[in-house]
Amino acid sequence: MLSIKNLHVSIEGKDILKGINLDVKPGEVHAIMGPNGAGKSTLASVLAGRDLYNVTEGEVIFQGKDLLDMEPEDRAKEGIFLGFQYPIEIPGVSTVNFMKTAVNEHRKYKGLDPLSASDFLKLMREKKALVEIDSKLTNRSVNEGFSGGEKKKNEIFQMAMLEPKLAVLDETDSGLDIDALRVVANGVNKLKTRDNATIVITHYQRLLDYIVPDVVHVLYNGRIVKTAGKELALELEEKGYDWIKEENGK
Amino acid sequence: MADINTINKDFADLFDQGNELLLEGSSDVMNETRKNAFQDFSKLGIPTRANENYKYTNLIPAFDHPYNVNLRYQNVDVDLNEIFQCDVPELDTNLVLLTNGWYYGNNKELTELPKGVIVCGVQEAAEKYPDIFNAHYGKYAKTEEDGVVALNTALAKDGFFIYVPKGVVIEKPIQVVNLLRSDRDLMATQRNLIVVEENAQAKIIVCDHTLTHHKYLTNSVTEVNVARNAIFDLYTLQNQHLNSVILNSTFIRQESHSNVLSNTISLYGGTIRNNHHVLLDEEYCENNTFGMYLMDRDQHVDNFTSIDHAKPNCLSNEHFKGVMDDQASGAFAGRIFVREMLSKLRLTSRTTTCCFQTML
Amino acid sequence: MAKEEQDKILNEVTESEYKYGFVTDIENDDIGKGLNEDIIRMISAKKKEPKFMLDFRLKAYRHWKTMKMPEWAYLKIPEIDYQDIIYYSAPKQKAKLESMDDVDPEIRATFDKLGIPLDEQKILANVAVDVVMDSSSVKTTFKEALAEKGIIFCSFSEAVQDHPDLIQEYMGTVVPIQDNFFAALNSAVFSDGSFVYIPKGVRCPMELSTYFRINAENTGQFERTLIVCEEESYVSYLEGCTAPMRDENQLHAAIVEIIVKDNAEVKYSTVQNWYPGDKNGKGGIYNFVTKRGICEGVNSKLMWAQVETGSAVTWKYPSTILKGDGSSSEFYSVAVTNNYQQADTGTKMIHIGNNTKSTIISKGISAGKSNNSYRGLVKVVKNCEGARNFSQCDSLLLGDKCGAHTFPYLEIGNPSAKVEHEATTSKIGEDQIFYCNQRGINTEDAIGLIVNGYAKEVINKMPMEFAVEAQKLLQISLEGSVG
Repeated sequence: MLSIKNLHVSIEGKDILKGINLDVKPGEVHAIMGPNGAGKSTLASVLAGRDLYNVTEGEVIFQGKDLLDMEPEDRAKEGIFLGFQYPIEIPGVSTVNFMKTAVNEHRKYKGLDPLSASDFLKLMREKKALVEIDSKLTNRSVNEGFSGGEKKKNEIFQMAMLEPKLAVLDETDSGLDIDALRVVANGVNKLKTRDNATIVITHYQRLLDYIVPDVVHVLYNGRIVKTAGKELALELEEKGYDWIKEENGK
Repeated sequence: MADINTINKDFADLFDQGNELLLEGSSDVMNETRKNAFQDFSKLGIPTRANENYKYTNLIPAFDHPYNVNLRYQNVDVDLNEIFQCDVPELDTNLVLLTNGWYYGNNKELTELPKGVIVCGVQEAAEKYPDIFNAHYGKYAKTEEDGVVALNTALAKDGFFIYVPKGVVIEKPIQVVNLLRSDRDLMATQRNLIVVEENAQAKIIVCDHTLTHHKYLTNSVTEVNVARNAIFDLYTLQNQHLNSVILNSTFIRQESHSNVLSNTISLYGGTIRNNHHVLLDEEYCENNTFGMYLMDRDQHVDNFTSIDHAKPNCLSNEHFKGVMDDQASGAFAGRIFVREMLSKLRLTSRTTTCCFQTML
Repeated sequence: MAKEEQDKILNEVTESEYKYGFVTDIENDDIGKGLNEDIIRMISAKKKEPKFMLDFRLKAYRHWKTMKMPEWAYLKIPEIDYQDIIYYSAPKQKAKLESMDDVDPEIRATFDKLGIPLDEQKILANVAVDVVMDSSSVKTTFKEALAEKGIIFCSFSEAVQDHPDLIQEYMGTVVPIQDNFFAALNSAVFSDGSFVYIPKGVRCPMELSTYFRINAENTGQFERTLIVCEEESYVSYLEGCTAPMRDENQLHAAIVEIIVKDNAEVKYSTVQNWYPGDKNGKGGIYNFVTKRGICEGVNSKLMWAQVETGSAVTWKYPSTILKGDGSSSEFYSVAVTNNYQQADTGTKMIHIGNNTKSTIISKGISAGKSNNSYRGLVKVVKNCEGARNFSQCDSLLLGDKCGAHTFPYLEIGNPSAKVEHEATTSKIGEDQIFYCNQRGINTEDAIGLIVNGYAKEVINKMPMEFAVEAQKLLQISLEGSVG
């Protein structure tokens, strides 16, 4: 589904990613862990097409297509969803209107007619129930005045609406209390199918108790320095990242 | 009626004459902090209404009273676990009791706490866990700005200490009940410390109750440090009687990506003053400071908050609501500091007061 | 987003073409270029006007000759040769029209392209339309239904013929001929316009709508609207404007006068979409409009709501004189400028009566190399007790080559007045755009969403069918705008 080969990325001349290799197959959940500043969020942003970053080398193939050649909105419509670490507020734009526009853009891309207002609202009701988000939130402007936890829930709600092939969740757990974390993880798990995949980016292991990964990667200093099963996360939680740093000479 | 100078002098005398008792049983760090705090108090004194931060609450009548002060733990002649019952239905908590500002000697053992969590008295913590204690004690409460806080620090002997280690989630809230029970009018000084380590989560409920009808003055200071990515909720429930004075100061420091909710609910008390200080010391903190008060007769409540956005990209919300009846009075002052030109900042502050006018 | 990329998208945005740019090929009845007393006599004669009208025109013309074009606005306007303009141009018509089928198919096709509500469907939708195309009213619908209630809604020319007493009583009372340069010019040469009269106690049962369109080359459009609302009456009036694409600049200098009596209420909504010129700043309408209403009676109300996306240059300050005690006025405006457009718009609220209230919500949106200024005056005269005003002026910038300026003027002559002013300036952020992109919404649509969200407060004040159109217009005029 996703194949990243030797990806090098820099920002303002500074190398952030120094040769990432990653293969994600349908139905898999990958966790990318690592200390702060390892390049985790950069990887997420580059996949989504944020052009603050320069790809200096390497390729990213998503479902047979060259991802790096696509505009961010086309990547989204191809099925890439980024759950933002810091979701953006859009004052004055209702979540309903925002999602309706987004869903219909996705449909147009697939050659489908736009949803009627009533079908759309029905879809929204279903997905709201699925991810346990309060109508109070979806009735407001996108993320405006939301708490950190509410914003994260809203990301998962949007993910449910857009049904991506590959969801990249960037530190979705940060700022969430244990109850909200369960709701969010539950939502992600319910959305999981054999055909889609998830990349969970996190600093801590706790989220992985609830969203159980097939593979755990450790990203350090722009490279994936370790890949193993879910037990690696527990090891990291216990021992911290210092031993990774030591093993990799810093 | 005594004037403010007499009151301040009385405390100076207490500090001098009780010095030996004050030092007894306290750690060196506590006593060092105490000494500096007393110097600050000597300069500041009890704040009067001339002090901008205290212009809505007159503390002179609160302090102008011959209180007893316990500089040593007093044994309790009954089992407080027996006589105190929390009336809130279906509240399942890890419960500990304090008596007149001291950690109760016969608290039941908390068996359900996750490994590494510490709940004990401040004196005990200073002795048994000096590394943790000394790293935080006296670091957040500013004695040089507020005479009440300086006085607390100068007279502090005990209170509660709660430590939540890295990555630990305490799902069942810890409930601390402050009981005032005396056969004489009493001034209680209580000093608390809460340390929530990285990625840990805890909810703490602090309740105040009076068990006898004597006049009480409680001067309580709570210091809280919430480390990176930790989540901490603090609920304070104030429910005393008309003849009591509560001076409650909370100092919360937050590290990056931490998330703190505090909710101060004032149900009953003669004079209540809450000082709520929040320092958003690193980026991406979220702070929600809420409060509610229900006042009637001639009760007085004064909520003073200060939210310091020391770093960018933090979010703070503040909302206080009140319902007033009879001759009750309420005040709210919300200070928000933004230290630099911070590009991404969102803060809200709201206060709503609803007054009932009794039909006569 | 990288700087070059932003510029690229901005350029793409600004390259969006004017969608209403086409010329209808119908015969025009012109009187030739230039302006002098003979031309004015000719206009008046062609329209078979009574003598008081000719006198009014000549008086205005003589005054205009003594005046200079104002220079205080924050606008750069090339010199206008007033002798190079055709001052009267009416579409030639064969006979009086009896039904829709009689309307010139070309004109109807034009209307269809504009999507204006002249067709049966829209008539069913309860919209009465008075169309002013190049200054002469073509067709008025629903006249009979309105006549039953005693409402007069007709072209200005017809009103001059059929209700000369009303015209004589009210014309020029709110905007006197000597008021300003463009008002004087309009008063001298105006060709047609609309007249509305709502009798005492009548609520006009439908929205009254006029569509203005400048069609012929080198014509100036000088229309004039007069609305009189008697005691306890109500009307909602809609005005829409378009113009075809032309290389030359065309002049538009209109006058709107509104008189609101005791307890009466008028809502005046405008969607202005005159041709703004091309992306290089060539062509476009010069729009110099004097719109003014007087809340003459006690507790009378006047609301202005406008969405302005067009014209190369706009100079327009819909104003209200709050004369009646307890009268109130609201002004809601969205003004969009793109490319080389210039707008200097705002409002004036003149508080004279006691306990008068005004609200101003102005939302400016600037893109391209445009300049958008808000100029507002809140004046409270000395004897006016208890006046209240709230003003909010927000500016939204797209790109970094455009400008937004705010010139609020407050003249408070009475200490009991309570006047509040709020202003914000913001820029559409790259992170907002990227967030939308990531959800599959392209940059153009994202800007449409954000801008419409920003303007919602104003658009919500417009009648339903206008609100929809206004939203579309915002999208078209900023297609793909970016921060």
